[in-house]
Amino acid sequence: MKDTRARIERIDLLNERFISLELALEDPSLKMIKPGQSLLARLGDRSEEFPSWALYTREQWWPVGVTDRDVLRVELPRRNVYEVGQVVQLLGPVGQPFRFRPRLHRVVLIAYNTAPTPLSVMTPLLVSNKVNVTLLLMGEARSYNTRHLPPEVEIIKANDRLEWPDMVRTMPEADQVFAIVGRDDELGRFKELYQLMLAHRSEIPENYAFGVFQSTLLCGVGSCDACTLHTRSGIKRICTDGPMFDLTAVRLGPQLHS
Amino acid sequence: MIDVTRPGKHVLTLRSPVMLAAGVAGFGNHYHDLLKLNKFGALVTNPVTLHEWSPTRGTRVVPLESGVLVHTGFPNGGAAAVIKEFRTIWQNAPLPIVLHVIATKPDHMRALGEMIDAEDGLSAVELGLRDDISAETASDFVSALERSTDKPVLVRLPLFDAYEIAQACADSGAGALVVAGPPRGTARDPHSGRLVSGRVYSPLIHPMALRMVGVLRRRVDLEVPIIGAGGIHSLQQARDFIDAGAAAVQVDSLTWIQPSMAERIARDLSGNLTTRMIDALPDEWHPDMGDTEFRTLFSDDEPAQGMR
Repeated sequence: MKDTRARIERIDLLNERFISLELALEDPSLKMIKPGQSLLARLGDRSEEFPSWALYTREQWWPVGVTDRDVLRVELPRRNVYEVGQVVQLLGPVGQPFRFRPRLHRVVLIAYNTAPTPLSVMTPLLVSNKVNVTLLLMGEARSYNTRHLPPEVEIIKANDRLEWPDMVRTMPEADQVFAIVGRDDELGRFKELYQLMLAHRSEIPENYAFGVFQSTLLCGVGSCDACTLHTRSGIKRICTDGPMFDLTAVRLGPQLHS
Repeated sequence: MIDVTRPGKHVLTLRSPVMLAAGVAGFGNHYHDLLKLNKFGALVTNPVTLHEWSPTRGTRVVPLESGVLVHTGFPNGGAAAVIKEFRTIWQNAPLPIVLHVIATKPDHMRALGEMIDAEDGLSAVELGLRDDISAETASDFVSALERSTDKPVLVRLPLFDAYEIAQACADSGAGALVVAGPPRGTARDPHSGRLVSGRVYSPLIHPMALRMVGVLRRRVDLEVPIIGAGGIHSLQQARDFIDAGAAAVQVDSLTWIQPSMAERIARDLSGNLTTRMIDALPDEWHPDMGDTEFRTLFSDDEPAQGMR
């Protein structure tokens, strides 16, 4: 875990709602960050003695790769105004890398009512390992522009009833499913997706369906207890044990696991 | 060394007057790679209850303008489980550990006090009182805990009730008063649209807590050390509490947001930073200012080329 700084070197508009930033890191070891791990970031200033606290909590930034100039690239919503040359304070890497099954052939990524950024991080790695990747966009996620994703990624947009052509094959043929949902009701949305998967499979085995949780992280080190999650093996923390959790282990609701 | 509790059989003595507040740094098992914990005076643990408490469901964090609202439910496995899990860490900790306990029932306080008394890794106990507690009830909690342990008992007062209950807590045996705990607030979660109640952390808490420390310190009948807490986000804000009469301070959410600044404050108030130069006026000097920077700004000599 590092508490360090970076300078914004380049800003690209990915689509109407998302930008990517290229960050020159003060501590180059952060370039070794793995898919699934994130950074907690806030705009810094020169003095640090009297920083502005207008943006109090750090934002969670998801690295999407390292450029050929050895600069870390992150993708984030266009919530704030960023400028080239600005200094950001970074805490990270936060969380555990995504865990993939050995002999992986097909992966389904589901984004439901949220941008697929934390999932799209893994697409270059999967595609380069000859894994078939399907990105399923549901609800508000359908408006996410996918032009910057590798062309090998199959994009499917579900309709308002959360249905799509060939849906009877999508889930059963996948070796692993990774899902991310809107933050208005994460457990409720994951429960919806879990039931959707159950409708197309006789059972959900362990190590098959994973939820990537996006709770607002405060400390990022597991001390503040603001990102705890009930699981069958006890209380887990999203910032240190997550962000990815096996949905068969998470207590999503009384009907499913408890 | 600074005594931050009343003289008595057992006194909490710290190397630095800067403590890590309850709820921000876990049980001493975090922040080792981000902070030099031995620069702090003490670490107050996350809140503990006699029996297990589960984390709250739903929204836990609501970002605010210049602050944050946090609602965790104070999850913990119960005192026995917590002590068992962290005993070794506390025994080997580079700073004194203060166990924070939540005031639930006087009976629970007695049981907790006896458990804490047996732990040589714990230097003191801090009792957290809820908002709107009466002086009588607060007194019951403090007495129950104080009589069941020989360790110093710090009592963390709720900010807006501190004036009313401070005397009762002091009379009941509080070794020191922590002024104050983060106040409770209600805010709308931008993601779910629901209203969430919880603890508010912000630099804006500082002026309110500072005033309360000053008011309580001026009460001549309150002969108990005060520890200032709430909203510290800069070196000056920490010094303000000391100037107002606090024996020590507790740093809270700054630790999450900017851990390096929390350590700087600890180093500064421990006297580990450069002391003020003999010919520097307070408004010309800041704690990190080295001799070169000072001379460059204020020397009457002609500055070297490119220095100004």
